[in-house]
Amino acid sequence: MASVNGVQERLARASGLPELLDAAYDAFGDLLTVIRRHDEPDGEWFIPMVLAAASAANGRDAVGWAPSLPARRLHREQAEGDAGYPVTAQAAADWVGALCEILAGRLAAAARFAAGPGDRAACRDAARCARDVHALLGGGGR
Amino acid sequence: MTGQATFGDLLDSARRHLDQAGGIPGRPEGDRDLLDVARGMHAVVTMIGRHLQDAASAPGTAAYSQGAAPSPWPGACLQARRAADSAARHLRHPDTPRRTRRSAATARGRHLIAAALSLAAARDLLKTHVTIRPDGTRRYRSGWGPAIASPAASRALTAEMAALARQIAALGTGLAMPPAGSWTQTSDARRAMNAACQNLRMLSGTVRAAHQRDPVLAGDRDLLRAIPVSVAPQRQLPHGTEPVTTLCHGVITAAGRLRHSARQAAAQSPSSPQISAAALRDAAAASTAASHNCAVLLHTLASGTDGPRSGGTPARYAQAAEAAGTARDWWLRVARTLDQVTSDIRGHVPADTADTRDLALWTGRLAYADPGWTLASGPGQPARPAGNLATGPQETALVVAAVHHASDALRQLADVHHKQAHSAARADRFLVPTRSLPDTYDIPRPYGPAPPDRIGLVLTAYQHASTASSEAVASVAEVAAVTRAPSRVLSLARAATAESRGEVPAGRAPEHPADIAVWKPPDIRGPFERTLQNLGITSPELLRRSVAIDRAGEELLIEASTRLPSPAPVAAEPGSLATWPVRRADAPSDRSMASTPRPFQQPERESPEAER
Repeated sequence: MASVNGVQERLARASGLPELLDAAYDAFGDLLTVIRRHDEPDGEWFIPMVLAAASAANGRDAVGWAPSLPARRLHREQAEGDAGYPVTAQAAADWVGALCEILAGRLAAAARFAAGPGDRAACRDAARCARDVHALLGGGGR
Repeated sequence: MTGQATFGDLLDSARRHLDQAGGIPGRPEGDRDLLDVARGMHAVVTMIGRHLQDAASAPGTAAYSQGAAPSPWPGACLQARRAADSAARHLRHPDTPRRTRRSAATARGRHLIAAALSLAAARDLLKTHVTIRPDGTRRYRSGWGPAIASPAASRALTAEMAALARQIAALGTGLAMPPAGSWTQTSDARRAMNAACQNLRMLSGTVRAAHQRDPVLAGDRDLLRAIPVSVAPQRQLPHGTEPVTTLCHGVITAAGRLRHSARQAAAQSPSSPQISAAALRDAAAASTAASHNCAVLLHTLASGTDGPRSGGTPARYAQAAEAAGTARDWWLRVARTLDQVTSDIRGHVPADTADTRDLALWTGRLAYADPGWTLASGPGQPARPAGNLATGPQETALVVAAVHHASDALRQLADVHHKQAHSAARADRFLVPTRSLPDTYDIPRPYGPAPPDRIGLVLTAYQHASTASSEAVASVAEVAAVTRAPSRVLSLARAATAESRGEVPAGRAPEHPADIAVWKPPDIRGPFERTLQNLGITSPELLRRSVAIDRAGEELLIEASTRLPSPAPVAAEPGSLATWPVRRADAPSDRSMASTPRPFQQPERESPEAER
């Protein structure tokens, strides 16, 4: 997983639809990885984390259906180990919330402007999933 | 419990109308009024006959146990049906146009018609659970279907109908009697009603004789009465101000909806767009949350248990909490393994997924102190204090019932989704993104077939979730039994279903006299007592003797019923009523009942002196 800021940067600077979809796909994957690290039953964020993980996986799959998603990753620099992972559940929730805000915004915009109906539907579905994750973890627990 | 009508509600309605018909003072004035009453009685008796027909044809799958004595119920049911048919023939007046048979001129007649309509509605309710295919075989439309078809429920239904027949017989006998000193006024109508009442008393006696030999259990009667109409309860969402009892009912309603939608999901074809990795994932996540909430509730109950007052022990609650926690852990494993696959279509949100989220929300509102708790509620969520959750045995029982219903619905969902995942795997519907595969895979498409090891992980997790959910239900059922929670009928239904399918030996012997169902006799005077009173006799001694004669007459009928020639053999479907074995005739408890037959409960009436 790239550093948490790296994912946000890729999303922010993606200029074309394939690039955005590539970054979004990886972003959902990163969300899933981070969330699953904090979905233990004795954790304080247990239930929101579990539900958010399902939405993150659904978002990843939605992007996967976009015809314009490149078959191969465009971005190959994957950091090894735990570099950049939020350590605490609260930090993870904050990071997830921030990332989902960007993700939902960019995908919603792409859903409006993408040329093909398959891309539009994929972006729309994925944006909804990002909003769902944000609703579960991005509100500070309320 | 969910606000839905149950069979017992409709039965009670019928009984209330019969009580009201019997409570109307005065006597029918002339044959016209008597015919009106006869029309009403005909309608009721016809419905009783139809219920008995259903009971006789219920295809329970109980097999003969080796060496078991034949059950008295098949013969009793057949004789009861014949008696009902015969009574109906006596009551049907040839001049009554068909269209007027459901209208009545007198208050008594109107109550009888209303009773018949309640019984018709009760029969319709049972039929919402079972449909008959064109080839005559049955299709169960709900989880209650096999329980309804079980020998236990059929016996209870037969006994309920016999109790109603007894009530009508008592009512009709009094009405058919000519006024004091007017013996010559006995008309054809009165004679016909008397004959019908004789048939009804025979019906009742036959069934009571069977009940004495092979008793209907109180639990089986409770099971029959608890059967709800098979429609999904209306969706409800909490608004944040509900007391605990309302929250419990909300959980039970949400569980009922989930059971219903899971049942419908089970009927979907493997290629249904309703089956997708996204839907399975969402449901697994919500099930994890709901199971977790159940574990929290049971832990809270365990912490507030002080033994006899709450009807349980901390250890039992703790054991159930642990079982719920294990189920939660396996649901979580399911959710995690589903991260690794997707399916061949975009995800839809099917009804069972939405209902599972609702269940998670309702159980959370009940489990946590925050009245506005949501699935997004983060840290710092204390559980509802034990003293607030359950203030006494009744409240405890209701919370246990809520957890029991929730666990049972989750168990059903685990079974259904396990099967869905299996069928999706067989149909090659599980895929993986090619981007997630090593570079050695060269697949020019976004998705490729999921490797068998990933599918295997999903199916194994579902298998464990299903098993753990069943164990959680069994554990909560034990708490429900101890606390006498109203959800005990779930256990009874499962037992009846298992009996119906031949998974367990048929018949459960009563372990205690309190296990045997008792029907309160109608509070209507018998024919001799009524005759003496009509004649103006006030002597306590004579009235006491008339009561004794009435009782002796009933006992005579019961005894005579046992000596009736065996009815012609029923063309029995495998496992139908005709193949019911008597409950373990070699069991000690059964022998003791056979050697000392228990008389049917007699009316606990005041003495004639007290009536003065």
